[in-house]
This record gives sequence, structure tokens and C-alpha cells, in this order.
Amino acid sequence: MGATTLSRLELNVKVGGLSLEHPVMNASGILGYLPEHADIMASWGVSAIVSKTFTKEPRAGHSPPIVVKVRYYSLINAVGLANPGINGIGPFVERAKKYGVPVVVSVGGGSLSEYVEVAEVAERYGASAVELNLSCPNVEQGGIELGRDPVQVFRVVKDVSSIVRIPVIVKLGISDRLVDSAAKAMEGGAKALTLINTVRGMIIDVYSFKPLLSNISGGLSGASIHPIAVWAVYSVFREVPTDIIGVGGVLTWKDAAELILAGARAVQVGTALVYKGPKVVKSIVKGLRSWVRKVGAKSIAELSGAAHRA
Amino acid sequence: MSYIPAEVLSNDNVYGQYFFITVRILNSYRKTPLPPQFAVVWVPGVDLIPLSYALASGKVVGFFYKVVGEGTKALSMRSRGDVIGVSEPLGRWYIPQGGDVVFLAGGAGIAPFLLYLKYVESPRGVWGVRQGELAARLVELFPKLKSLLVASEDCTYGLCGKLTDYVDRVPIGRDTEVLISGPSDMVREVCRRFRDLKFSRAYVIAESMVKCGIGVCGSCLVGNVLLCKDGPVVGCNYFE
Repeated sequence: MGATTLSRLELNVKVGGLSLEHPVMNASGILGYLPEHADIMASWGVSAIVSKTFTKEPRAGHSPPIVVKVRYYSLINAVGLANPGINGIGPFVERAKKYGVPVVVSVGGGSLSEYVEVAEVAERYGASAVELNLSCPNVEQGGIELGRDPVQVFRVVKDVSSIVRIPVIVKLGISDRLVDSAAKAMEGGAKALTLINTVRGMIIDVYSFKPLLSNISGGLSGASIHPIAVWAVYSVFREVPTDIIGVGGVLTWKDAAELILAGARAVQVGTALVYKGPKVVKSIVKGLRSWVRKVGAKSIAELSGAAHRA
Repeated sequence: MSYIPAEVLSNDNVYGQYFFITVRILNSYRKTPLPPQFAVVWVPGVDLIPLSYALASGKVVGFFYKVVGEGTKALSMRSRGDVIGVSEPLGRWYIPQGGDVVFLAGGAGIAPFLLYLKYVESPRGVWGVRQGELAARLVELFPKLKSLLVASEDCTYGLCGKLTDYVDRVPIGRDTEVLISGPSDMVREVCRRFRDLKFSRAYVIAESMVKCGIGVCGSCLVGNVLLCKDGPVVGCNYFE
């Protein structure tokens, strides 16, 4: 086996039944609902393309301002799940599949049946997996409330898992019952967990006394939530040792490495793409490769959860 | 997008529904706005409006706009001393270096060209307006506009008729670059005309589709170009 092959293999990971060339995917929410978006996303060099959340019906989303940069490489957004609805899934997936990496469709809904229906369409068009968004803070129904209730999590995951054959990944937000919800998601048939979604927050303009976002509050992402994400991944992995995709403030390879040590097998980047541009993905991958060698590991997979064994 | 507080210095009604607002940025811009960059202007509690810079001098920037909805209506009611939010300059600047450039503007589409006047000695082109009085008032404020042909639909200023009636009067050579800004109907008609002429150096300045301003929401995608990051100048072929 040549050196080049070895260097590739050391970053290969399997998560939730998906084989990834390296552990860095994009987080759902940056572009991801039009075929042309898939072209741009593929150019980032991600190991899997994750769509924006699709719902059954088209959603216009909230009025601007919908996203605001805040301190410390962070964003607060209230896009409101704007997407073209179920009819947009096919064109997006078909275009994204051309790039030869797994395509994950993020699925949202206001009811259990809607999650099932959207997931079915994603599978029909050839998605590699679905990521159930049970934790979006920007919709009134479903979303965050659903993810906080382990019983509801179990129901929706079980319903979807019993219908589709592709892997079901469950994205959860931070809550007091996160570990319980994670356990119930796995019991319901999830193959992996994505931890965490944005954290609800708000900013107010000190001159006009008005909230910046039209929706008043939104989801905080980026460096501000990174320690929360690390803690969430660590806590869940300790109690529910399973495949985890860590997300939250991954701006450098060190941020990704932290999540991996906490228990993640792969990571997602979102806010970093805004602050550092598309090259951030390749930069993180390069840094992770050097790190694997530096710490004397044979592959990045063996470092997943290593903080629990230290 | 981050919004920098900006204090309104003036907000003058140029004519009818057309206004010119100047604001003083309370913090500093990292970079000076250059044409045809644009900002998203936040009217607190009302709306976010993408507007081309029409003026940029130190901490003072200005925007020429038309009242078309709730957001611009609310903006038109801001007065001296009020504070609004203005983003950093968005998009890529583009100033033809020594080349021949022609401006084609419809109504408030003249806005980005007002900032170009700082960089282009003798601008050529056509500006189409419904009411000639608007042109007369703006020319008073920006005398260099006199070098453009003005077509007014009410026949009270310059040539009588629409912009599209006079596009052919502007000599366009092989190396000329044409920049177009205005209402979508006008843009489409002009772009179709250039397509028929097999002229490929015609570009549209399209900032009005921008929503989030940082490439997240994807709503300003034209072809494979996100206008908020890589625009606002895009090929005419996308608008035929």
C-alpha cells in the first residue's frame, strides 16, 4: 500500500452507515436547497453534502433581517426554515449526487407524518441518509419542542426508521433532557446523532431598542457555542456510546479534534464557512491529518471518544 | 451580517417617491465602499433593504432610493439624528481601468452610477426616467450626470421616450463594457437586445435580490453567483 493511500485512509471514517473520506461535512443551513447550491457546496471539499432542512410544503421563512454576525466568530439566525418544500428535494439530491459523496437530506416537519413523508421522498431520490431536524429553534411547531421530549423523539424516529431503509440520523439541540432524547433516538432506530443545533439567543440594538432579528430571537451558532457542543457530545457519548456527528463552533482543526475526542466520529462546519470562506474545510482536514500523526494514532477513527479513556 | 449604527445626516425628497439619504457611520468601515458595492440598510423594527452606495466619503455614505414598500417608506421618514443600521460594503467592486464603459440606468437604477461618477471622468450612456423633473433635480446634485443622455417618458427633460428608445444612439465598440441597472422589465429588454447583437460585454448590477447578505440563505443566487458575495455585477445572459 502506497504512502498516498495510507494518508487517505487515516482520515476515513464511518458514521451512521456512511463511509466518509474524511470527517468534515457541512452543517445543514448554509445554502442547500437548490441544485446550483449543490455545485457550490461540493466545491467546499466536504465529505458529505448536507441539505438545508426540507419540509413538506414550501416555506418563505422569516422577513429580513434573518441572520446577524455577532462577536467571537458567531452568528445568530432566524431564517425560518425557508425551503421550496418536498418538490425541491429531487432536483437538489440528483445534482448533489453527481459529486460522488454521500448526500444527506435534512428533514423537518410540523407533525410526525410530515417527517415520514419528507424522508420517504428523500430516499426515493437517492439520498444516502436523512438527518431529522428535531431541534430547530426557529419554527413554532415541531423542531425544538419535539427534540426536548424523549417520548416524542422516540415516536418520530421509530416512524421514520420503520419506513425508510437509508440511515436515519437525528439532530438534537441542547436541553436538560438531551441524554434521554439521545437514548430514545437510538432506541427508535437512529443510526447516528448530530449534536448540537443552534442555541436560542437574541440581540438588541442599543440605539433603537429593537431586536435585530425580525423574529426577535434566533439560533446562535459558531465559536460562542463550541464549549457547549463539546460538553453535549461528551455527555451523550458517555451514556449512549454511538456514532455522533459533532457540530457547533468548528472553525479550526483543533475545534474538530476536541469534538472527536469527546466522542464524535465526524464533524460539521457552518458558521466557519461564513467567517473563513470555503477553504476552511480543506484547512481543517489538513490540520486533522497532521494531528493524527502528531499524536501517533493510526487513524482518526481510533481517536473518537479518546477523552473518555484518558 | 453585522449592522453598524449610522446617524442620519439628511434625508431629502429629491422628487416624488425618490429620496437621497446621507448617514454618518458611527464606527469605522474596514474598507471604503467602491462602485458598484452595496449595503443592506436596517430600518430598526421594520425591514432590511439592499441599496447601492451613491456616495462614500470618509465616514459619510449616501443612498439614492425610491419608496416602493413598507421598508423604504419607513426609511423615508427617518430624519436628522435618527440612527439606522448599515452593513459593511457587500459584493465586489468593479471599476473599468481605462476602458470604455457605458451606463444604462432606469429610474432609481441610477444609484450605483452616482458613485461611479467619482471614478469615471466623462460617463456615457442613457438614463431613463418617467418624470423629467426627477432628472432635472438629480442633475443639480450631480452635474456630471449631464454627460448622459436622459430620456423622460413625460417628455419634460432631455429626450422624449423610454431608455430603450435611445440605447442604439450610444456608440458601443468591441471593447466597450456596458453596465445596466434598473427595473427588471427594462433590464430584460436591454439584455435581450444585446443577446441579439451577440454582444457579450453587457453586465447587470443586481443587488435588490439580496436577503441575508452573507451567503447563507442562497436567495440571491443567479446562475452560480451569490450576488451578496460575488455580485452585484453578473452577466446579462442571466436576465434575458
